[in-house]
Amino acid sequence: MTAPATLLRILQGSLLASSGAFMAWLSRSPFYWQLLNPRYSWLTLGAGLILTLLGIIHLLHAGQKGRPTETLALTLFLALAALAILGPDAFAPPPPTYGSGYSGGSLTRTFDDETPQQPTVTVGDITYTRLNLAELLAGETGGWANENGHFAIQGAVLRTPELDRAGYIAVARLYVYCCFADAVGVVTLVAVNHPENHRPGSWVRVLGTLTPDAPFQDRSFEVTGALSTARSQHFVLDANKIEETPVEGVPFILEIRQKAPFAY
Amino acid sequence: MQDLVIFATAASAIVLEAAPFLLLGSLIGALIEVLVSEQALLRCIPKNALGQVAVGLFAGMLLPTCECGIVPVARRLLLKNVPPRTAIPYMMAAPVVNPVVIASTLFAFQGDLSIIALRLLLVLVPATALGLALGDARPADVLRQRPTDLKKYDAAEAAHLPSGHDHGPGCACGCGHHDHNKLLAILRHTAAEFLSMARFLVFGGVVAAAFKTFLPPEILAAFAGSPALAIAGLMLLAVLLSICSEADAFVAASFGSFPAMAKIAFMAVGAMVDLKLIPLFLAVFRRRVALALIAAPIVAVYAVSLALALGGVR
Repeated sequence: MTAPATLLRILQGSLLASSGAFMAWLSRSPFYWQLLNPRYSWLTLGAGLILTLLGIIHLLHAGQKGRPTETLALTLFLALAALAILGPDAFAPPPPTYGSGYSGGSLTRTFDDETPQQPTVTVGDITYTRLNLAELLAGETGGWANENGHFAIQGAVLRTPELDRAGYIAVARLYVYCCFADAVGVVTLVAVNHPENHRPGSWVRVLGTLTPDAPFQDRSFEVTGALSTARSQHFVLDANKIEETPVEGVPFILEIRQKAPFAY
Repeated sequence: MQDLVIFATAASAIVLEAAPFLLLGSLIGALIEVLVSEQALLRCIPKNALGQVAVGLFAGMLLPTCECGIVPVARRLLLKNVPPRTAIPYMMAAPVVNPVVIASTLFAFQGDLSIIALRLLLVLVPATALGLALGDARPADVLRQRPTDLKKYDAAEAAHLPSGHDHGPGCACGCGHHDHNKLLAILRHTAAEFLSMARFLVFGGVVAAAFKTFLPPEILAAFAGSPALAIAGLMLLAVLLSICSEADAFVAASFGSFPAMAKIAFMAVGAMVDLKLIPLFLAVFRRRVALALIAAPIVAVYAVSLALALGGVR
């Protein structure tokens, strides 16, 4: 084997081992949820460890040749992953004007997902079921989100002139089933008296009552990171109380439960 | 800069999501290559044409895998002289005809059995058609002359194709299948196969992430007006986004303004043709076969979806 070929093999083996080590590290890091649903972290860990081993074997296998495009692909992957994790925060809240909803919080923060959660919250004499936006939407057909039901949700405020005129704000989150690439925006319209009092991009908890309403036709709003958004065509949440709060758990929706206690 | 970071996040996520399955596919391929004799494999396959196609169509129920890892497995089956009319239908159908994907589709569409039935139909039609169209073709007729990146094993493997040579005990072909070295042979095969396939995954993932990040969402809305446009629009999007078949149902379900048949076409075609698979097809299969693998599912899914939509189904 020629010297350049040997160098290419060593480089390729090193990159493959590095990619595996990166995956193993990522699966145990607080950044994992930014890219993939944590339910798959064991899969990433296992694959990462095996790839590290394979990289070392490739490195030591004198008869093996490398191909430049294979080396380029591994280099590109590691560079993109570094940019995704170390780059500027893509989900920083937008300026306090109209604009796209964001997906909640700052990706450079870590989030405590282990906080014990109560399935309900009681304010005054009303008990609200805590659930996430996707669970609220799924509950319309699943039977747990019915007219006049009381619910507590959290998400980022999204406003447009059309929503303001209709007396709504939108509360949005990203639902990540497998990975960020398949993320879907989930939006609930919240009926409020003064939309202008709510800062776009702020993270809020809404206590409200599910109320039938005509489908709202405005399609201009979007959720950062999602190509499409899902929202109810039949109900809005009539707000009883809205307050800015820190994100509870992680900003993305990672789970949809079909009975209480919901994932919130 | 925000878009660039979102693009990098989406591209990395696609690779990270698919890599374990590609690794699994590479490992299964290596295990088949090193441990399973050709005779044992062929004993599981019926002699008649319809039986061979049927085994391919439903093999995914026993060996669930998504499209991210299916090509290395199919390629290895072909190298073991499994008939193309079994291996090709398996490659096309298994990413959908498997219990994991069926369950995730049912969950995303809240238990609607008609959705999963139609999704299976849209996958089984082109997979069956491709299997039957291949007739008595041999593996060497569908694979490229040098189909792998296994380098030092290539000549030996290519030479084995026509003769059906098996790497059994005492084989001195030089591809590492010595009795005392099977584990190392499996690992080397897996590494070489993974490296060869991963470059298509990375480059495909980059293009798919670019579409996800930079495609204006309002373009989608323009397609929602008629069934013909809606089906075509979501099928094109499925190819461009290259979402894993285990997750695509959740994305499909979010296209609220699109007719159900367009969503089902999105889920069906994306599992058979996408930006990760197209370069893999072109690298592994002869050009005519690769083009058929790309064109047949697109034409069949569109035609059947449109006919069903115009006929009032969903």
